This record gives sequence, C-alpha cells and structure tokens, in this order.
Amino acid sequence: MIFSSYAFLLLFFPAVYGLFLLLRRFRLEQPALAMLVISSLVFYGMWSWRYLGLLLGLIVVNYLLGLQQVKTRRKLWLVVAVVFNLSVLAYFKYAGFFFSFLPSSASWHIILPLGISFFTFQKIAWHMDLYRRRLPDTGTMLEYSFFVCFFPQLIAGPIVHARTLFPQIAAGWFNRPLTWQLGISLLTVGLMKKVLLADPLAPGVAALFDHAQAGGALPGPSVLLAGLSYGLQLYFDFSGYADMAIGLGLMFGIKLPANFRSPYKSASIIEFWRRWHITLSHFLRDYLYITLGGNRRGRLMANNNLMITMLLGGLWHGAGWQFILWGGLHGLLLVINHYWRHLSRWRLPQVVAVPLTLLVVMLAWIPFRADSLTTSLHMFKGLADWRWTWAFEPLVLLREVASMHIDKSLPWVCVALLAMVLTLPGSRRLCLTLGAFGRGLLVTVGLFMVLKALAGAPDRAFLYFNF
Amino acid sequence: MKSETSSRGFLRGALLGLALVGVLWLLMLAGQLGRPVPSTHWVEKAYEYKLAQANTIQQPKVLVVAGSAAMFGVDSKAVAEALGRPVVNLGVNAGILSPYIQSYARQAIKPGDWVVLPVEYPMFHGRYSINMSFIDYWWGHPGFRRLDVNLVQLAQVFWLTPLLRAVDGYRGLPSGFKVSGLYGPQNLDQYGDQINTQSSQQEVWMHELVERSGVERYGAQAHAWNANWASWKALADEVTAAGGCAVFVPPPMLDRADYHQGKERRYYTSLPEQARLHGLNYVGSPLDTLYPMDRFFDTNYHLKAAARTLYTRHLIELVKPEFDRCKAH
Repeated sequence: MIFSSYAFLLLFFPAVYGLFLLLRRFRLEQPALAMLVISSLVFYGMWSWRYLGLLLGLIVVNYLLGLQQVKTRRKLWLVVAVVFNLSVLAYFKYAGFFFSFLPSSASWHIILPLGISFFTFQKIAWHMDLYRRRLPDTGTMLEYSFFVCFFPQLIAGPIVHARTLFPQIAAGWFNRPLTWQLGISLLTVGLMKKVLLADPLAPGVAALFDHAQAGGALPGPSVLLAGLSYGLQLYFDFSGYADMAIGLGLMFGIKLPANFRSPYKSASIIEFWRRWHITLSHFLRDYLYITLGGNRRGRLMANNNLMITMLLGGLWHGAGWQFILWGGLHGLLLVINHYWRHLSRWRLPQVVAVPLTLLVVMLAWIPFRADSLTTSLHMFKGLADWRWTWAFEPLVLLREVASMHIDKSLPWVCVALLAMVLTLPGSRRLCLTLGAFGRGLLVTVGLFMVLKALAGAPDRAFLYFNF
Repeated sequence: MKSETSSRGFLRGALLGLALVGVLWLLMLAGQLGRPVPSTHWVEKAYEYKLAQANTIQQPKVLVVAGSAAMFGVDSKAVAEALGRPVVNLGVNAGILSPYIQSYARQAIKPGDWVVLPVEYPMFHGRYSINMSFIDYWWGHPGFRRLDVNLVQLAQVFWLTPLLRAVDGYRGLPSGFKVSGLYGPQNLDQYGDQINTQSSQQEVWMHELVERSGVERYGAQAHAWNANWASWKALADEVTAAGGCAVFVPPPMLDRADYHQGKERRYYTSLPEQARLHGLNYVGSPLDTLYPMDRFFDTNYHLKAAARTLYTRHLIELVKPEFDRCKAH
C-alpha cells in the first residue's frame, strides 16, 4: 500500500485515524501506541506478509541485543548488533552485486524487503545511541516496535532517532495539542508533489533513459534534460513522500525530522547536502564520517573520510557501479568545495553559484537513474554534441499536461517546474504562511485534484522504495 | 479559543475549496455534453450506417445484436441464406456497453424480427461498470433512464472523465474529420459485417495485439450483485411481445488454458444455465466457441474471415432450430 492510493487515503488512513482519535479522547496512550504498531504492521504486510515476518524477527533480535547492551555496556554487543544488521542488509541488497562473478548468481532472485535500508539505519543508530549513552535505556518493547515501524516513516524515512521519538510518546503524549491542520496540509502538499508533479514526468524521463540504455545517441541538450527531468521527478517524489510522512506524523502528534529544505536553491555542493535527504546526511555524518575519524586528524584525512562516506552513501542507494560513481562524484565535488573554502575567501556570486550547483547536481543524477555505468558514460559522451532536437507544440503540451503524461513536452514542463522549485517556499513554510483559511482551501482543492488524478492513473510506487 | 477560531477558519476554507473545485469541474463537464471526440466517432458512424441498412428492409428480418465480436465473427450472408430472411449485423463495439447496444437495437427492431445475441460476457455482469469508451461515448450521446444507465454508472462517468477528454471535447471533431482506419463504415459490407479481415491482411501489430491480449477473468468478476440479466431479459421480452424471437448464443473468444480450470471453467460451464434461469433463451456452450490464437485478427474477440465462416456455421446450427420453433408458434 502506498500513501498515494485510494486504498490508503480512503480506507486505511481514515480507519486508523478514527481509531486514534477515539483512543486519544479517552487518553488511552498505551493502547493507541499498540494500535499504531499493529496498523503499521498491517500496512507493511499489505506489501508482503512474508517479509512482515522478517521485520518482526529483526525487531525482536535487535531489542534483545539492545537489552544486552544496556545491561553490560560492552562494545561487543554494539559490534554484534551492527554486524548483524549490516549482514541482513548486505544479503538482501548486495549479495547479487558482490557475488555477480558466480555463474549461479544469475538465478538468485532476492527481493529487497521494502524499507530495509531505512529501518536498518534506524536500528544501527539506536544501538550506537545506547552504546554512547545518548539513550538511557531501550524503552519498552512496544515503544521500540513503534520506533521501528511507525507507518508514515517505515518505508522511506525520514530516518528517525529513538532519542527524539521516545520523549514524544512518553506519558503526556495526548496532553499536547494536535497540529492536525498543519499535518493534513503537509500531507496534501506531499500528495500533490507526488501525483501531480513527479508521476507525470515519469514517461518522458523513462523515454530518454531507455533510449540511451538501448544504445541510442542523445545529444547534449537531451542529456542535460534527462538529468534535469529526473532530478525534478526524484525531488517531487521523495520530498513529496517526506512531506506526507511528516504531515501524517503531526496528525498523530509525532514530529518527524525534516528531510528537505529546498535543496535546488543551494549555492554550493556543501549547502546542497545540508538541504537534500537531511536525515541520511546526518546519519552518515554522525555514525560513519565521525566514526571514521571525521576531521580530527587533519584536512587530508578529513577529505579521505568524506570520500569514503560519500562512496558508501552511493552504495547504500543501490548495488551498482553507477551508484558508486554518483557517490564518488559528489564526494569529489565536496572535497573541492571544502578546499576552496579553506584556500580562498572569495565566493561565487549567488546568481552564478546557484545555477552552477544546479547544473552539477542535475548532471550527477544521470548515473543515479541509469541502469548501468556503461549507460551513464554513454550518456555523458553526448554532452559533446549540442544539437537541439525538441520542438515546441502548444497543442501537444496542452494534451500532455491534461493527460499528466509528459513526453514530447518535457523541456517546457521542466523549465516551468524548475522555476517553481527555485521561487516557491518549502512545503512547511508554505503551509504555515497560508493561515487556517488558506490551509483549508489548499486541502480540499489539493485532495480533489489528487484523487481525481489517481482515478485514472496507474499506481506508481515512490522512487525511494527502490533504495 | 484560538484553536477553535483556527478550526473554524480551516473548515470555512475547506468548504469554499470544495465548492469551488466541484462547481468548476461540473462546469467543465457541462461543456462536454453533446460533443463527440475522434476516438469513438467511428462507433456513431458505424451505427448510423447499420441502422440505415436496417431501415431499408421492410420485411421481417434477422438482427445480430452484440459488440464487435459479432461484427468480425458473423457472416450475415450465410445466416440470411440459412434462415431465409435478410440480416443486418448491428455488432459494433462492446466498449460502449449494454445501455447503448440495447438502445441501438431497439431503434432497429421491428415487429416479427428475429434477434441473435452473441453478447460478450462482461455485458452480463457489468451492471455498475463503465470504461473509457463508455465515458467518451456518453458525453457525446448523454442519457440516463432512457438509456438504462444507473446512478452508480453516472457518478463514475462524472468522476472518472479524464481532463484530456474535456480538452478533446472542447476542441471537438477537426473540420473535415472523416472516420478512417480499421474500424468504421468504410470497412463494413452491405450487411454490416467487417471486411478486409483475411489472414493476408493481418499486419504484424495486429497479430501482436492478439498475442498480448489479456487473460480475461470474467468468472472472478461475475457476482450476483453486478448481474445484468434483467436488462437483456427486458430487450428479449420486447422482441417476443412484438411477435419475434430473441436467441442468445456464446460469442467467439480467444481460448486460454485458464478458462478450463477453477472458477473460470465453472463460469463458462454454468453461464447458459444461469442465463436460462434468468429468463433468456441461451443456446450453446461458451467452451465450444473458444478458438486458438491463429484464428484471431487484432483482438481476442475479432475473428479472421476464414474463422468467421466456422463460427457462423456453428451459430446457424444453434439458432436455426430455435427460430424454426419460433416460426411454428
């Protein structure tokens, strides 16, 4: 089940929320917590009952390891927990990649359990926090289960820390006011981003990348368009998901961390990584970069650690050389950016820095979306040929927009969306500035448009479900 | 207090928003009424042609009423020779569903006419269903009770009409638009049968369409609550009351292994009995008119010319005794 579906919006969520409000009315906090855990397991089980067993098994094993950690405070249990979680992740995500040299690997059909990359990181962070005593104890089994599988963030983040979540569900949870208006507004904005903006771009993006994958030549403008259109699709899709998760969280009185802060407005790569997939960046910084030594042993080692972190960050997104190239490109750009900051006080003017950062980020999306390293390199070769092959046809544009199936009008739609991304405020600020009346208007108009669009559109899962 | 004011403001905004989009959408739809689009215009033209053919016949005749399976699958000349009456094949497109198919049939049926109904299976169990062809056609030819369209179908038409249909509807038919391509009156003979369906005329893409056609799940989709027997019974009763006879027969359809097991097999095996229980004169077995892939032209319902001869022979064997009995009465 995905958020942008009739099953979720008209059945699952209203039923769960109705029950939640009822329990909240009678101040039944623990039953509400249990109800949300069960609902979350049902939500996950709707995708695969078999992997629901895996999720439950991982919850139990990790909780027991956590108890050992608290009891003994020994590093051994931390190592066991991290190795265990990474082994599970490695098996499902990387076995095919690392053992691709074995002839029998072609017949392995290992299905990636939904959300495993996210909940594995959450569990590792939980173990680290227990070891570093940022968390006093494990919490109850119910609280821990809620932390792992709360459905708004279970599948694709934001990556939540127990140290910020546990206090929110402690006694008194229901005494705090429920910011449901902001919650439902964010949910609506997220749905609009996903259904009205990201999904319609999918056919055009796929056409460009499929053409390159089949060996077809793409001239420079089309390569740039491939990067730009995918960058926009991914942003609206993933930030839309984050808005929905945060909005849903708020409706249950849970504040989830922000994952995006208008990243395409960044004036440097460093700034981009402070605005894009923030909770992953924080995780990698806190639990990988700093664990590797951070910047404690000089600039060279710091950059070395940064490079390793970005390469592993790339690999986390998928088992393929193209992801390593993407991580490596960003790592290299971050190192250059850091050196520049260190060596010179001069900064590019904003009017140059923003487009330059945008250009680099969009081009770097090419290996991220391409099916292989070969396709990525083949596409980059096209940048030497600057022939314009797109025609502006108003009628085609009108029909493609009306059918929400953008293909031949991709350049014009992307320009419009880019202008939107660069000028409009972030979702949260937008919802807050609208005021109560404006939020009400936004919610009904937005939901009408989303439900109307979903009525005739194929189900498109969120892009980050693949990672 | 502040929260209460905020909630009231939110509610006011929400209600205004709902009213705004609702009214805008209804206004947009209102402009669609009576505006056909190119994609389904061939259906209108094909019926225009077939009804004109039917109206030129003054003596009692035979009408074939169904969707395009009949248009491709029935050799009306052979039926006419076997039954000794002129025949008009009214089969055009099952996509516009039973409300339109029955409505056009009523326009053609005259007292004493015999009606053969090789009705495609979903039309027996789609009381509340619609599809895109139906939506497109409905806006061009709107109707409610007169068409036997129910409220559930109407609500779906209003909600599911795509924005693109609205754009195309407002654009209307391009000036000088003429129906062309495989479907339409330009490919119908004097009886209303589809022509140019020889094996040699089948293009690669047509064959691919047959190959890629889905495995139907009519058995799984058929329930008591969505049964549509009553509307067909009403049509058959009108034919009988006017001194004619209506005989239902299975349509030709592409055979699949799935149709011979479980729920699907039970569906096809029991369909004639079900139809008879609901007052329809249904003869033949659906399992006898499931044919292999090489007999189909461009969909899982459209027979090639050679296969049409085989199906028609079977159809005549089924309906002739029924119409002989009808004559005797």
